[in-house]
Formats: sequence, structure tokens, C-alpha cells
Amino acid sequence: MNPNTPSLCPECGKPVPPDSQHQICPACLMAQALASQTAAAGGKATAAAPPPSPEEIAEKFPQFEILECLGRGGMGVVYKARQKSLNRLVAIKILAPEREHDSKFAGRFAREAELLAKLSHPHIVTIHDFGETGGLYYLVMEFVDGVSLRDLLREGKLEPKQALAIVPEICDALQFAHDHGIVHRDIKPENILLNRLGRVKVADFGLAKLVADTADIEPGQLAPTTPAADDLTEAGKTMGTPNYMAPEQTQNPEAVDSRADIYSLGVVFYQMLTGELPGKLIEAPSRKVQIDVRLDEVVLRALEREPGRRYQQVGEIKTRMETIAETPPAGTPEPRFSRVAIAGAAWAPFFFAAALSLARERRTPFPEGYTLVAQLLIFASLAACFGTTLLGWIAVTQIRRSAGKLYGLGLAVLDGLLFPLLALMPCIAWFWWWFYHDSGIHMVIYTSGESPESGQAKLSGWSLITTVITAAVICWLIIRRVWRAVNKAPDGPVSSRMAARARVSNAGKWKFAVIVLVLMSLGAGICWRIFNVRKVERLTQPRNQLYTQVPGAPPVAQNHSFGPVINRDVDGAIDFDSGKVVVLPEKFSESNDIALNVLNGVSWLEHEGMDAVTEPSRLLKGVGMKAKAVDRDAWDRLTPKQTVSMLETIQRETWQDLDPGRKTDEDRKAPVTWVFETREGGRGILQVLEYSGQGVNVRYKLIQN
Amino acid sequence: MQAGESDPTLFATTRWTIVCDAARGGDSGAVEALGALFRTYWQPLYRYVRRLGRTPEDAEDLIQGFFANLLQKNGLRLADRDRGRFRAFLLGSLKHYMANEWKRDHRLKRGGFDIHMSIDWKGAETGLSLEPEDNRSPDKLYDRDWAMALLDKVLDDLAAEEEQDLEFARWKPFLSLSSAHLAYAEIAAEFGMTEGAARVAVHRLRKRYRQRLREEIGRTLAGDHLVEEEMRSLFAALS
Repeated sequence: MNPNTPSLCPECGKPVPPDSQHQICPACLMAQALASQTAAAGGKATAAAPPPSPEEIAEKFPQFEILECLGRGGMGVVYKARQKSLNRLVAIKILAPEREHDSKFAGRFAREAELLAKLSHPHIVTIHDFGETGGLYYLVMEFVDGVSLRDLLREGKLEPKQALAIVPEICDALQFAHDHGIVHRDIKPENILLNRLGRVKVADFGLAKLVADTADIEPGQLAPTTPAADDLTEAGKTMGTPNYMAPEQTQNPEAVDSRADIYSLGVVFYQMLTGELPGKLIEAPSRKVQIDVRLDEVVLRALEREPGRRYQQVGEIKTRMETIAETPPAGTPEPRFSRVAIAGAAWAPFFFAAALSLARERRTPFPEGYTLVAQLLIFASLAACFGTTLLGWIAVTQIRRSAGKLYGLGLAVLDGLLFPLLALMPCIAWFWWWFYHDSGIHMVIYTSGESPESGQAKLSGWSLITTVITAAVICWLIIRRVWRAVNKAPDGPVSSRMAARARVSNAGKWKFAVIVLVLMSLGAGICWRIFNVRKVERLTQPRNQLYTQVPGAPPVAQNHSFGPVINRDVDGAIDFDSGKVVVLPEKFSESNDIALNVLNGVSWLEHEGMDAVTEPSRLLKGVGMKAKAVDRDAWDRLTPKQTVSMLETIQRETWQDLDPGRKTDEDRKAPVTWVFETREGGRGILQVLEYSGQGVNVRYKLIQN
Repeated sequence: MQAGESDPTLFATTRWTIVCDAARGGDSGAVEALGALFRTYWQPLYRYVRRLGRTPEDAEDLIQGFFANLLQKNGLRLADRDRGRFRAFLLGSLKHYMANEWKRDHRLKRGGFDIHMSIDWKGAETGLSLEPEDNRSPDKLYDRDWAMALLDKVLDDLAAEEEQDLEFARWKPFLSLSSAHLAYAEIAAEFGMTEGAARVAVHRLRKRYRQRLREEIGRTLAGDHLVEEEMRSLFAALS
């Protein structure tokens, strides 16, 4: 070839560039390489002859009345026709004329057509007849009055519901064909038809294999399908690739089996759902469209590149989709226990801990003795009574609304009712206390001649019993009522299965009841305990303070002086104001509870006006006194005025050691001196002298008014 | 250009990225393979430089210097990998080289680059001057030259392979023709075989050609999944 006169490319008609070494049109060369994968639009790739017109065809098919050309299909052209003998509509597909001259083709075509004719299935386009006439191979098929999936896709993606209705029917068709040993090999939207009733019909079974076995066409190479090219032209690219073929169909055509159809179905499915073809990195459809997440697995598994990793049977896909449709949507996360209910339940014990510790120490959580952190902790813990209740009811609402995803209704109701019911306990207990002690009933209960103590015990017993019974009954009623209300089906369309799941099973209910009763008893017991302590005070009179004071110690005038020195032996208790010494009643040393003893004793002593006592340790102790130790010669030295002014700065104490305990005999013999003031206002100086068989010997002198 | 002369068999089908890495590491086989790649694709680069307005001597100098620079360890930086495409990478590196190093190298080593490559400068020139008027940018023309260099290489390879079976030179025009324009009957008559055999032969040849082409393109890319796209780009450049 002369490099100076450029030759023309027989394919595209353009001059061949002179600088190409081999003098072949590079554009066409490249185009040919591409043509194996693509369907081209335009003139550069395999050009196709225009389809014969209906008139041209009609003369070859006298037994048919050719009505119109339906379109150019994959293998050839399709015409709508009326079969005159049977007066029915059919579709006649004329295979592309390039095949005409191949002798082997005829035989293959016949065999294939026979096989295809066996595919009689509601979802497969039936083959009525085949043949060759005037050089054209043709197939007579069932006419499907409707649209192809391609048409639907062109309008935009389908509703997921529609896609999910179509796919199982395709699966039926494919499974039927596979069972008969026929692989479609060319599943794509153009081959999936839907008739006016919406029934799916899969067309062109096995034709791809038939056509591909000829010499110069690679499997799957198709003449351009104009609609497809329109769809998939993207900006900037001149060719589209509707690639529905499984990877093995392009790489290893011999090894293609029914699983290739599954891949193609996967591509079609994906496209139906998302409107796009799966790219190289396949994105899960549920990310693009609002569908059940479980369908992702179906689509992606069908799209596995390795045939072995796909579904092995088309029927599996259908089954899987049916399963997904029947079980509740997106219900895959395991129902979990409501965290709010747990939080509420966890908070509650803090309340009890804080309350108990406060009660035991008889303190309020206000300043004096607690660090800031401790105070905050205690307040937070006490706040549990509100917090737990609130969290409980919040949890109840959440669980009811969750339609089965959350459970733990029992714990939530427990949280919500615990503190309210606990708060109810004191009211009940108080009521009964009042009933038995103050309303006059006790008159009835006391029998004559009974000692007050046993009478009190009887009253206590009665009130306890009735308290517990009433508390239990009321609690039970409330809980049952609340439980019923809470277990009514929540609002909204919820299936009966889900509502059933929201209800706690019977076993759970009993557990719940037991827990509630235990806690209620605990609460009642705590309240009881608190009252029992107070009971002692009620033995005599209700008191609000631990010690009382006779109102106002009189002021000291200038000319006050000390009274006479009073000397006593104390083996029991002494009242400084009057000089009276008494022996302690036995009951105060009987009980094993020292705390009770002390408290009891203090009450009694105060009532009797006692100021100091030698029980229980036999050392002298002041009761409700102001007392301060002074040195020994203060006995002589201190004036009344000085004594009074000293006493003004001293704190009154419930319980005071007046005798710090002498270890040696020496100590024992040396007197301890105190300035003191009694509850009644008697002020003076006291000396604890010595211990003897009769107790402690003391002497004191009071300031005279 | 002599196709088939170099035989970097170790890297016959390996990606240029791997080859580059190995070459940077000093592997002599890799250097050879890289040299083979250059040998295939130096012409587009040369022509590009010429279209920018340089004299032939300068262009020669520049290309040699560029290759030398590339073969040195610091030439093949990871950052230059333009989405895995050797074509874009080479052009980008060349531009970079022209902007920076060449001036320096040019001054120092005028005429004395240490390259062991046989390059047919004149051949490149010839083609250049015969080009018709083209309004496209040098970059686009580079792509076109690249595509042509690629196709030439592929055909050369095929020729070397097919010598035993067919007279490749007579069969090769069929590679650019579609089935519609192939008159199998005539081919059969011309080559003295049945039509069926003719079809088979053409089909086989086409298949081999496509395979070779894809392989060759694959060598210039970072991954097989990019081949389609690259083919389309090249086709667009050729049109």
C-alpha cells in the first residue's frame, strides 16, 4: 500500500491513517474488539440490515396474516400475526438472515425447537411451530399482549411490590426449564414479558445457545437492540452495555449451566428494585430503596461471581422470598430487654441504702457531718424514689410501642409501682396505728387487769397483722389493675403475634408478683421498725426531741450563792434538783438490745426527772445535762457567776460520761469535778468522789436563786 | 520498533504497577519489562513533545532523559499513578519532567543519556508530518497515538504468533470488519477452503486478537475491571 495515498476503510469508509503500521483502520479495529461485549448504537459497530417489512414477510408466510412488526429482538425480528387456521394471534420470530447459509444450523435449530416445545408452562412463552421458509428460519410463538420488563424499566424503576411479585413467577419458569435441562442463557428485561393480566411470560428460552453455536458468533453476541441502547447511553459514552450475562458466560462459555440464569435473574432483580444495573461494587438494594433488608441477601447471593456461591436452584430464591414475605419485616434484631426498665430497677436499691443509713444514724442529709460528695450521693439516691418510678413508666410506654422488639414489661411496671406503693405503706401503717391506739378501739382490746405492757404488745400485734394484710390486698389490687391496663394491645396495626410477644408469659408474671410482694414486705417491715422505735416514746408521752428542757433557766443575779453541799450515794439514778436517788426498774436491764435499753432508759429517766445514772456500766452518766470538767480546786474557787457564764457556752448532751473511768486506785480516790446544769435549770458544781459497794459517792452544790 | 525482540517473560502479563515497583527495587528483569513498555509507547510521547513545538533534536533528548529519569529510583512515585492508567501516568510524568528536571538534565547531559534502547526517531517523524490538520489538543492526540501504538503492538504480536498458521498479513484486514461486511464465500474461494472453515478461521483470529488486545490494555492498567473503560476511551480517541 502506498503510504502517500490513503486507502479507505471498507467498514467505516474513512481514510486509514497513514501513520498506522499495519494500515488497518484503527477505529474499526478497536470497535471490533469492543463488539464482543457491547451492543453499539450508531454505525461503527456491527451494522445490521433493516428488518424486512411486513409485506415482504407476508409472502413467505401464507398461512399467517402478518399484522405488524413488533420490534427487533435479540436474535431477529418479531412480527405479530394471526394464524388463519386457528384464528389466533401469534408472534413470529424471524431469525437473522446471516444464519441462512449454515447447514449445520438447520439441524440444531430443529432439535432446539423440539426441546423448547416441551416447555409448556404458564410462565413460559410457548412455541407453537418452527421452520424454514425462503431462506428464513422462523419460530411461531405464543403472542403475549402486554409489555416487556424493559418497557417498564424505561419508565423508571418498579415499585418494590411489583418486583417482588414478578420475580417468583420468573423463578417458576426458570425452574421448570432447568428441570427439563434447558438453560435460558439470555435472561434480560427484553425477554421478560407481562401480559395485560400482569402474568409473567419468559421468552426466548435456549435461543441464545442455539444461535451461539454457530461459527463466528460468540455466545451472547447480539445484534443491537435499539431500545436497550437508548436506555443505557450515558453522557460521555457512546455505547451501552446491558450486561446481564454471568461472568462465566463471557469467560468460559463451555462451563455455563443453569446457574448463569440465576445470575442474570439477579441482575434483572437488582435493576427492578433500584433502577440501575449493579456496578462493579455492588451496593445493597436496601440502601437505595425502601425494602426489607433481608432481600439484599437474596439479590447479592444471586449476583455472586462464582457460580458455586450462588443459589444452586432457582426455586430456592422463590422459597426464600416467600419466607421473607411471611415473617415480620425487619424484625431481625433480637428482641432485647428494655434498658430503661433496668436502669430504673438499678436505681431503686440506692434509695433503700441511703434511707437505711440515714435512719440508722438518725441523721438528716443536711450539713453537719457529711461531705458535699456524700450529700450529693445521698440526694441522688433518695431521688431514686422519683427516678425509678418515672423510668418505669417510660419503659412501659416504650415496650408497648416497640411492637415486640423490647421486652421486660414486668420489670418496668415494678419500677413504676415500687415507690408509690412503698409510700403507701406508711399511710396504711399509720392508719392502723391510729385506729388501734387513738381511736378508742384499744379500750375494747384491753382486758381488765392486763398490764399495760402486754396490752401494748397485743395492740402492736393487731396493728401489724392488719397493716400487712391491708397492704398486701391493696398492693395486689393496684398491681393487677395496672398490669391489665398495661397489657392491653398497644395502638396501631399490630399483628396478634406481636401483641402476644409483648405480654409477659405466665411464668414471668408469677416471678414478678413474687418480687413485688417481697419488696412490699421489706417496705412494710422497714416502716414497722421505724415505728417500733418510736413506740418506746409512746410508752409515756410522744416526744419530738430527745431531751426536754423545763422552759428557760432563770437568769443569775449578782448576789446568788451556792446552796448547801449535798452528798449522795448513787446506785441507780439521781435527780440533782431534788436530791432524789432511785433504783432503776428492772426492765431496763433485761432486754438484750442495748440500744433499746439506752433509749428506753433515757426516756424513762427524763420522765422521772433524773439527771444522772450509774447503769448500765456502773459509771456515772449524765442524762440531758450540760457538764464540763473543771479542775479540782474549782470546787472552792468558782463563784456562781463564773459557773453560770461557763455553762452558757457548753452544749447540752443527751448522754454524758461524768466519770471518765479511773484505772488505778489512785485515780479512783481522786474526785472529778464538773460544772453542770440539769434539764430543769438547776446549775451547780458536782464532784464524783469514789466508788463503793453502794455505787458512786457524789457531792454537789446548787446555785440558789 | 521490533516486536517480540524483548522477552521479559517474567512480566509478560503483569501490571505495569507491579513492574514499576519491582523496577524501583532494582530487579533487572523488571527494568527490562519496563523498558519493553516504553518501547511500545514512546511514540505518542515523542509526538506529543513535538506537537508542543520542540525541535526533533530536543524531543529526542527529552524523551531519552525522561526515560532515564523514570528508570531511576526516584522517578516512579506512587503519587503519580493516575488511577492505575499507564497512559495517563506516562503523560503526566512527562509533563512533570518537562517542567522540572529536564532543564537541569539538559544542561548537564546534552547528548549523553545512559539509555539502552533502540528508538526509531525518524519513523516517528514521518508519521507526524503526514498527519492531516487536526484541531484537537496535543493531549487528545496523545491518546489517539497511544491507541494506535497499542493496536500496532497487538497486531505485531499476533503476526509473530500466527506466522505458523496463517499468512497473517492477508487475514488481518478482516479483523476490522464486522460480520455484515465479511463475504465468507469470497474469502473461502480466495484461500482455498470451505466457507465453514473460513468462518472458523476468522472467528478464531478475531478471538485471539481480542484476547491479545485486552491483555495488552490490561498491562497498562491497575486492574482488569478497568479494561472496558479504557477501551472505550481509546475508541473515543480514535474516532
